[in-house]
Amino acid sequence: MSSLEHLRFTTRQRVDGAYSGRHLSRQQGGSGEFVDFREYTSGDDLRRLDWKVLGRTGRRYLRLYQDETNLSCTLVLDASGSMRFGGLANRGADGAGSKLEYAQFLASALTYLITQSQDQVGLAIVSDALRTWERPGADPEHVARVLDSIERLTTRPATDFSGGLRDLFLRTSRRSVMLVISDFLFPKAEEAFAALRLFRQKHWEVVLLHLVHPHEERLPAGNAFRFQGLENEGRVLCSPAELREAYEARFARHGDLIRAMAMGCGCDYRRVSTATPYLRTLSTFLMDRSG
Amino acid sequence: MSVVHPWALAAGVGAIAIPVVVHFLTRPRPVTMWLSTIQFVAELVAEKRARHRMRDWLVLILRTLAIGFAAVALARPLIGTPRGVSTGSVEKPTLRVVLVDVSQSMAAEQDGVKAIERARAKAARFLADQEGVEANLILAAANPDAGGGEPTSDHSRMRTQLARASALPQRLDAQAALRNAAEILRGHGSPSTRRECVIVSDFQQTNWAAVSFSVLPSDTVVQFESVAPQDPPANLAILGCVPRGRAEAGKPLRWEIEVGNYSSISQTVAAEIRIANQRLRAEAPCDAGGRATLVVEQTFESAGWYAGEVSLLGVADSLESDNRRALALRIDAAPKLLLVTRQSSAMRNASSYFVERALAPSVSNPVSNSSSNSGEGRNGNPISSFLRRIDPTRDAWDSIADGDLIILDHPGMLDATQCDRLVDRVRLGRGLLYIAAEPVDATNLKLLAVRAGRSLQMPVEFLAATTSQSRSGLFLTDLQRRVPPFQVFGDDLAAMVDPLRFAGGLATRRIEGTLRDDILATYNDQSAALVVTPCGAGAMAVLNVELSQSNLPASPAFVPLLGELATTLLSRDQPAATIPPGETLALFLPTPIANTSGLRIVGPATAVPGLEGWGELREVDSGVIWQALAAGPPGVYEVRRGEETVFAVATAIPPEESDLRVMSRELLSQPSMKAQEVGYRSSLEPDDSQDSAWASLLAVCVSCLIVEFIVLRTFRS
Repeated sequence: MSSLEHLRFTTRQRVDGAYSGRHLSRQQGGSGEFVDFREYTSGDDLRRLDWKVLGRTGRRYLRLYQDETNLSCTLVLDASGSMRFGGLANRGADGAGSKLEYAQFLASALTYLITQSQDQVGLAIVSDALRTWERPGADPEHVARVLDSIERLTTRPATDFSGGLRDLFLRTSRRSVMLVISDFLFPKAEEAFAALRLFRQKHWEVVLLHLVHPHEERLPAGNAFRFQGLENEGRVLCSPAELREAYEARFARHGDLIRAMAMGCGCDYRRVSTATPYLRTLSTFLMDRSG
Repeated sequence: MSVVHPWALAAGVGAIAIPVVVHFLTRPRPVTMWLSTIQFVAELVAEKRARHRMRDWLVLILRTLAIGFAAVALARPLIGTPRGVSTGSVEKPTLRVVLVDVSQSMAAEQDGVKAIERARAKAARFLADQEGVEANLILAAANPDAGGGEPTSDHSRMRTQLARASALPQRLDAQAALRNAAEILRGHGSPSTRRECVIVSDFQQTNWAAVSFSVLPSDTVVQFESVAPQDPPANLAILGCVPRGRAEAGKPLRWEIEVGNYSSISQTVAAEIRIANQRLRAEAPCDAGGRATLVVEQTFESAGWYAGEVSLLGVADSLESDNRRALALRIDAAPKLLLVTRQSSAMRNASSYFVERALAPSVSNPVSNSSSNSGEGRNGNPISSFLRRIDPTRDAWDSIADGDLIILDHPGMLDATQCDRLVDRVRLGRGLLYIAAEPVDATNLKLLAVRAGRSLQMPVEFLAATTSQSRSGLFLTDLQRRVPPFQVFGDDLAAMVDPLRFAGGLATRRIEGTLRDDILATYNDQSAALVVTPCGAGAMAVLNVELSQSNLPASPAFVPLLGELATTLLSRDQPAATIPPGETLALFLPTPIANTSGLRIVGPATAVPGLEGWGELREVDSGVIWQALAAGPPGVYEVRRGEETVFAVATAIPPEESDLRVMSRELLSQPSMKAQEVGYRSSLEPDDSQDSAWASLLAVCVSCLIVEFIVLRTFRS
């Protein structure tokens, strides 16, 4: 983590922050850096009126300043059953290398980095509903609570990601950055993106980190497998050899669909393989964002 | 439809479950695994479910069919109506005769297997123990033998006999074998008994073409079991080897070796004769399917009996035993000729003078009245003669006993005693040439015919010519150009004969019931010109002409004509060239052998005599006869007195056994048979045509497995 301390979680968009910070604010306050003049219109704050110009010319101009504020980032973690998938080594679920573990590491690291920059971080854990909601904050107690929530994260076999997001949307008031870490294996991905579109309409910046386990991309070698669903989908007995090519095409089509829908919503999309160490993933991600 | 192995069907029903069991036993143990993308897998499985279900059903059906067909094939269903003799169960008491051909042709090999071996296997099927079947076995060759005795239901003894059977160096007397079978079938069983005759043979044309099956009882079911290959195997054979002309010491003897080429390829055949410490080789081209005659000449230094062998060189064919043939030959000393005539030797234009000059031309000044002349033949005269004149009115008649050929020319009236002596000599193998010119000769010839009795069947009766019958200017109109003495002229016969004009002689009258072929030449007035008739071991010839009034003595044809005639008469005494093995033997020994004292029969060194040895020598009125129920195997058999061979004869395989062409199925099954049912099975057909479905079923079974493999390949993802 020490190697990442020089990196910052930034955004190119103007943000609404409660405190001053290093990010451009959507507010043009009076204490920031001067950027321009504008003629006074009725209703403008008279405190920004340039009295000297009024005195010399008799015209009313306002002085415009760019305000800087802190960033508020909400981490949305997918806690559906599919996140338990951990590859062949663990007969498919849980254990080291699972997507959930990867998401926990990634979320914890991001929490640390964001709060290190005096920005606020919030946490939303969504499975069959919005199970955990920590409003963005930056004080150490809050950070400890968030990290604790991430550490104790457990999955539920049922998924209602769109419902969770809609619930989250109702609970948030100030626009912020939302970072969604999920495998996007929802029964109805369209509904989830419809919920994300709500945030986008309120000018949230939505970043999607699509977690993909390498053993999901292709079926394991073998004559017969009895696959068991992680979200109560039941069992399927099949010969992977007979489905291999079709499965790979289907999974690739799914990834393309998620990406297309993310782009359609104006979300920032990033496909993350759990085979890549999360710190490298994080490093690449942060450097890309910082431009 | 019935099946041979019903248990196989029951086993097949159980075996139908094998694919299911195999499916479960070989089903891979699935690895249970959690999968986040199970929805994708479930979608794909649902997409392919119909395809996989169809594949699984197809595979199951094909496997089940394969098992089912294999089970039915194992059960060996019998499809169709059985025809002929069946080896299955019988519905009513059955009397069966199995006739197996063991003749020489059954030794023919094809692909290393002899026909007799195939015949044994085929016949054994019909001699398997069957309830309700009484059987008998006939091993048929020259002397068909029902060695099995009475028909019996215990077939083990016959199977043993069959296992020991081998091809014999004999011809097949198929008609006799069928007669034996008919006797067995008629003599046993009741009217309700089913009668079956199974004939296992190669069905050679030469053996079976003229056989009549009508001797079998009309209700007999006849089953032909052919062991002949589809195409007749190539075979070269020595069909005969005979000396031409009189075998005489010091004179060249011409051997004629007849070779048959029973193959589809023309080739040059070579043969070698080994006899009298000499090896004589000859070769000639022989057309496919034809015959060739190889000729070699040999001179024997001394008279006596000789044994040898002739063999083909460089031949490896399907029937090896007919590539060699034993030879036995008697070489005679120069013959003694007696000219019995009343004419004086001094008469230059007499008939006897011409005869004497023709048969002993080297005598320049013959001595009349019992003088003896001798000399070597010349100008193609085959006789190197010792000719002696006898005047019956003055010389002792007993002296005719010394003559090998007796010529009667103007002998005058003969009495009964003289005729008896002449007939006795002819019966013992001597030749008699009667030149009939005078009316008294008609009386003499009639008396000779009377004294000879049934042993002399003259084709014509000689009569003195009446005054109204003009016997002059006669010419020959009808000649048997292919037999001696005219054979020697070949294509020049017409040129030789046309100028000839005859006069004198006797009128003739045909005797009904006698052989017309004995008349070798006929005049234009339909009277006989030359007659040659066998009489006992010898023969008598009558030349019906007055030589002194004819232009024959002046013709170049006279000497060879008379010489050939004399040779023919002298050669009658030659023993048979060969006799067929296995057949009843009855041979008169040559005249000098009058009793059996000290005589013994010696067979080939390699042959083993039967219980009766090589036969029996018995004294009969006309000399000594050698009798045997069956002649021995091929080789030379000698009758010896002490160490001296006094007689020899060779046994050899009859030529018809070498021709391996077979009767067609149609020709064999269509003859005017009264049998109500006929079955035929070639060597290529399965042993039971009804039992042929199993092969097709197995093929279908294999096809099912192949289709299953294709299905699995096609439906593979």
